[in-house]
Amino acid sequence: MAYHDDLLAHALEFVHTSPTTQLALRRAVSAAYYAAFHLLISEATANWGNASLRTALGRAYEHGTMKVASNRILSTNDFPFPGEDATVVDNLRFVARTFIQLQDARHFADYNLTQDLDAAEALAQVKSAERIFSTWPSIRGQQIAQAYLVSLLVKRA
Amino acid sequence: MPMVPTGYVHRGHLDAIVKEAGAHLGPEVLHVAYRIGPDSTDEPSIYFRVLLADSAVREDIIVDVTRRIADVLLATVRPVEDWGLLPYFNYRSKSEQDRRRDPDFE
Repeated sequence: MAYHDDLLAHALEFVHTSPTTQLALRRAVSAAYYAAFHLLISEATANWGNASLRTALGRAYEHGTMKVASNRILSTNDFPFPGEDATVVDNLRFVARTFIQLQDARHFADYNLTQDLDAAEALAQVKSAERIFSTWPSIRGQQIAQAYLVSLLVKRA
Repeated sequence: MPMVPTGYVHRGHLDAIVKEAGAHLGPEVLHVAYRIGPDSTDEPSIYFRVLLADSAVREDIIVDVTRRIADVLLATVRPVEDWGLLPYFNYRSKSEQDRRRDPDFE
């Protein structure tokens, strides 16, 4: 299994830990984010012709840049995607939105101990990451999805 | 994408729009609250706090339920386009709220 698949399995295992603990819920959400993070990087670097250098290329991806790129395509004003299949656009925006959401949730899970992490919230986050995994294959062949993958690497002023 | 300081958000107007959006949600949504503030990277953001009926947080339906809720709120409130706010969604079940009250969800 690829590393991102292992991470998702790890997240699902932790979110189902019984009895529930804060440790398990927080580890689940953190792993769910990293599963999505590594999935997108893996998909992006798969376009690199030299397979042995793909993991090295993956080191170039940064959380902040990936968030900005994901944020950008949420705007229907700035990115109306004219002429594109509405379902593909919806699914791409779902992936981008969920990636941002997971990143923020990971930040809460790993650093913010002032409030408990709810079981329903943790489950929603982990299952959303799982949905990224099931949604992505339906759009990966689309040019706008591939452009999104490239944008994850590109810093803009 | 233009992001506006949260100080420029007209809370009364936003309250009305969120309330309107809430009317389009199903009975599984017991309450929608929100908070405006910076996210983990200091982007101006809106955090929707959605209180769900216990029946809606089942594992087999929770993603569909939460995606539908997010879609309705995004389409009605248009946080990115109209307010310059990055949207986040947090969910809590009724039983969790009853057991451990969180005023952010009220």
